[in-house]
Amino acid sequence: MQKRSNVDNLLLKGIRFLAFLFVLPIIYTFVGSFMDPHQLSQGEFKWTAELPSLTQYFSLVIFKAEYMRFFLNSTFIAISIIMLHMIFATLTGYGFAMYQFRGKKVIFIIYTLLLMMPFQVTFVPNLLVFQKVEKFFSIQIFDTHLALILPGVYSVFGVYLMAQYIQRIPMEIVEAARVEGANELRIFWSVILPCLKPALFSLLFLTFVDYWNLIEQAVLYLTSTEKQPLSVFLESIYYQDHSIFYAGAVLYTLPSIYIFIKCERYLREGIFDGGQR
Amino acid sequence: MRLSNKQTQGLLFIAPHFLGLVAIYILPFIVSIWMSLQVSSLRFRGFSLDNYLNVIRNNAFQMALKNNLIFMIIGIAVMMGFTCILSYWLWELKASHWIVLAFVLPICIPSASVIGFFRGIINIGNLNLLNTNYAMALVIIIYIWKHAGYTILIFMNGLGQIPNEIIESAQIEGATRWQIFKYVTYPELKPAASFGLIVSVINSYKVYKEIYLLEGRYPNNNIYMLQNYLNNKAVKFDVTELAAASNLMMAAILLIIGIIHMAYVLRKKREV
Repeated sequence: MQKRSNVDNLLLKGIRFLAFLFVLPIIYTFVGSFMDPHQLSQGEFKWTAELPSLTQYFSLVIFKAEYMRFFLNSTFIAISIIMLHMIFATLTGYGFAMYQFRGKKVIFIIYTLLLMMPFQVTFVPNLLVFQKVEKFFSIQIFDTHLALILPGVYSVFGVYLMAQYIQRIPMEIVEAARVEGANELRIFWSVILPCLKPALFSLLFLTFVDYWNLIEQAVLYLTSTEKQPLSVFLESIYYQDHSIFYAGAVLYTLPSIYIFIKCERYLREGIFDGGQR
Repeated sequence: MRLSNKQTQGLLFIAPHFLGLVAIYILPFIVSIWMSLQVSSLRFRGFSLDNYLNVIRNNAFQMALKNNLIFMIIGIAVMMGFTCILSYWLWELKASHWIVLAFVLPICIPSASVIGFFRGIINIGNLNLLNTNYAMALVIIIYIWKHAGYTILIFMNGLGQIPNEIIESAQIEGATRWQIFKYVTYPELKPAASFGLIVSVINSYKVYKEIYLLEGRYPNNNIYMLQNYLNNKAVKFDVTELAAASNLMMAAILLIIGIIHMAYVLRKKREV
């Protein structure tokens, strides 16, 4: 391994500094959560807390347990969407990748076009449907979590990811299973599913990231405060209850970091091929 | 219409999701086109293009559109340039994967938890930086911070796909780093770059999250963007103009996709 030139070393130092800048906001939030709440409410943020303490966490968990409700809201929404969306996406991706049927090309084009549409375009049809359904079936949709979960479960992105990935699985395995006499569902369950582990983890990560941080939909559909997910509610604590804001922010971030640690390997290993193969 | 057994199975696999998709996105989208051409959303009184005209003439819409375009063009250009250069050096200098992870981490950090930090930077004394002319620059910085991880992963993946033999043979021939980049790396990266571009465009709309958390429903005029306009309109639940506005957006996006696709197809034909 050759020694790095001086320029290279300088560049590496620069990159390391940049990486530090990138994690700085997170470090800041963590450090802030260990500060004494009284210091915080005075509006000063000292980098080295004079009294590093877990007071914030205690206050949050014991005295202000009502805030846990919003954490549960976020969790409920995220888990519902993730479970249902992953099931649907895998089944649908499998259907696209393994079968040919009439109208497949048209349907696939529809999916591709929908993939390109941002939330600003897709939320209006959702809004319309919810209005009509509320009127005709008298189910309440607005101001419930259903309004957030349904569009998420039926979103297009996961289908695309799984379809691309399944397409690359070598067919010999499937053919061998077919020769052994397995029916279609059995093939899906015992042959394809284990191969999909990287794709499933990547999809889990990307779906979680999208819906743990749900903001546009919550702002649009939820009006009562107690239904709001933590992604929107945390902001209102900043001014109201500044003394526990940072602890709340850290607790909110921890699941993200946990899922990131579990799944980042699969992301790096190549779900981001983008159709190069 | 007779379907073979195989075909039915395929359709069965995609049916649960596709039917939901039709019910929640496609059918109502057709309805929204219908509604956007209505005169009134309450009673059928006839068709007109008034909704579209009203939207286009609306000052807020024009401002939102202008800001969105400025943000997208400058932000995405900076994003692509920055991540391309950064990924290249991360790859060349064989930076440890912890450093790469540091750049990727912000994509999963929820927006609400870092607003403490951002508010700290933005509120200097009595001045709220997001109310000045530098607001757009700040938003672009936040956008790059949050979403660079996606494109960095894509580029590094693309860099990993380049066969080592080509680079080694170029190095043996005595090519400099810049020459290798220009003639070998850059052409091989084009598929990754286009995928990264698509992802960056999709992510550029998500900057609404941070702007809303920091500034609320009506941020400064410099950063008031399309999502703000549409959201604020939706609160009133008068769907005709809302539908018109969002359909305009969709039409614009389809137009751009169509143009790019045509250009791609024409270039393929020329190569053959």
